[in-house]
Amino acid sequence: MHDTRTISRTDERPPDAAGSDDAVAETDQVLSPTRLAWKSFRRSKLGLVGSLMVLLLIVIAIGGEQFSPYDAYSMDSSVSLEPPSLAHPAGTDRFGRDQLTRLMEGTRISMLVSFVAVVLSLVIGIPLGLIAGYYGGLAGTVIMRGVDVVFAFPTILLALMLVATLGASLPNLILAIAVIFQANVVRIVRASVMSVKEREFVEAARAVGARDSVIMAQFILPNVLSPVIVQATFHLSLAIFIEAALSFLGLGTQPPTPSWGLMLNESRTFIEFAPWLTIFPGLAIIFAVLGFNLMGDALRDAFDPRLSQR
Amino acid sequence: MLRYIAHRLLGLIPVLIGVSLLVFLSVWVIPGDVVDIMMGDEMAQSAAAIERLRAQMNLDEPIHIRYLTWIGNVLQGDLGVSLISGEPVLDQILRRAPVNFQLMLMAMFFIIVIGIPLGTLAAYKQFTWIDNTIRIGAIFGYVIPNFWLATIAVLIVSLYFPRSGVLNYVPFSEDPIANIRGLLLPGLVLSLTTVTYIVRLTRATVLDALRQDYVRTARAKGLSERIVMTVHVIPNSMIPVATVLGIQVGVLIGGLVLTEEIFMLPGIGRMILLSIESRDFMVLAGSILFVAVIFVLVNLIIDILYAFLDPRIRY
Repeated sequence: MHDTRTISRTDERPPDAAGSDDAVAETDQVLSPTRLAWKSFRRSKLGLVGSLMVLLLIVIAIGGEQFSPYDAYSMDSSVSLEPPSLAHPAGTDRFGRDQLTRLMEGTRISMLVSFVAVVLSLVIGIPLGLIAGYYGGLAGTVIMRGVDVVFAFPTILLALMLVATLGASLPNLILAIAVIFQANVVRIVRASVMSVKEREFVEAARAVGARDSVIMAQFILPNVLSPVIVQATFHLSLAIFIEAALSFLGLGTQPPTPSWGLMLNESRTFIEFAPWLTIFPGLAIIFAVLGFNLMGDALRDAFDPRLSQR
Repeated sequence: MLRYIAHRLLGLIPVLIGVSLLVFLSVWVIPGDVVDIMMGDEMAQSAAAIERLRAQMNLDEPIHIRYLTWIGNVLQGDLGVSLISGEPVLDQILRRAPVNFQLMLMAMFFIIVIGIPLGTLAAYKQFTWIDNTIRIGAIFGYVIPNFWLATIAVLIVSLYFPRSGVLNYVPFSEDPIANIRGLLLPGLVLSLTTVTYIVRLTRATVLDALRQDYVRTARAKGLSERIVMTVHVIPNSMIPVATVLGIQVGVLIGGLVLTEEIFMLPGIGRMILLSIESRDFMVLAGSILFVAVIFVLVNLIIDILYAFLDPRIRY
């Protein structure tokens, strides 16, 4: 998970198991592949659990401090470094700030970073992938070489370099993550486009004189969306990890903004006498990454029924 | 085969040019007065450092000349000198590289001795409590951030085993045993994400192999389960695992920065972080370029080995 290429290149399936077209079950009524996937997704218990976890995170991210009597930023030195208690279920930090409130505020940061970065990567990656897959040619070559360059760096290292040179801030972090993810999106979209563009329904559309833009938007795009959605879900969890890792290194969110990674970073000084400051942000990261991963696994199984049978 | 290798080597050229351009552009072309930004306000702006920077970057030349000069030097093995210490960047990298190499070997060792047996066991005992335990463990290992786990591990060791020496890094040349002891925990933490991934993958491929006709035949002719597994199932399910092991080298390289930071190991990852902190952009550019090139070469070797191992792949 900590590297984008693991997901796209292996898929946990032996290479020879690939192939075969959409396995649409022809029972009494014919369901569209999307409906079929949705039905299968709803049946997955783990997928449901993951979705509920993600939903909870989104609610906390939107509601934020309204759920807490404390303020994430106001300091109170009289309660500095208090262990977990009824008043402060996750303890307090060095400045007497309630950690649970800061974790909730951190949820907002994590969700913001991951959703904005993933949306941005789709906005950049889908058109580039469509162009590279549909037209190929010089534009396609240039785009794919660019993608290769992004893939030539270990993920964390590229993010590190971009943030270090652009300056450590939240927008730059989002931009760096989006740049990395879009390369993966381009690869996936291009591969799906190439497998779809020679199919009969595209040829038929071309034969009746549909413009390229119409063909791409109406016939090709819907067919490449499912792998992109699955990948985007995994990207959400990866973005949470990258944000946490870079903030942990002091290169992401800057104080006093409470992000999970930054809280972990700040807690290192006090780890021996205030371990709760280290434990809870870690649990928050695990919760979020697990939620998105369970959702992603269920989505992948739903869109690709061959995988769920093992 | 030779044609394939030649083809891949040629394809490497544009990628390497792109990599060097990206490093050059992002590290050296920053808006504003480059020198001021690079040296920063908080840094003691020693005249010597500024002079070194100006001299190395040929700031008066147009940008393409600067790039060509830089890449020309790089191709001759000159990555520049540190703005802080004045030491050649390549010397610094080569001095630190053994730590990374050892750490990678250690992590790879754990990945293989933990990941493959557990994955095989889970597949062999599919749908039993053993399988379920391993699978749940693998999911958790996958989502636990390794830098968090490393921090907790350091805490536990320093609280309960302060004299164990597990947290002390000693160079291999001084004391090989102490050296390996000091790398055990970092290697284990570094391997964690990949171990869980290899468990899941091994389970999937072994399950796949178990359903093949040749396994049924082997069982039908009365071979013991031991022989069936060791001769027929395991070797045949290892090709995809081997490939992924190679790909995971990249994940490990990426994980080095965090692992080295937490365990205070003197490797290239820490060097990169230090260069960012001290705004030593010569070291940053050099070390990132170095790591990226190694990464690209490792990937190439894996692809070639894969083509070699699996005769179905022909180009």
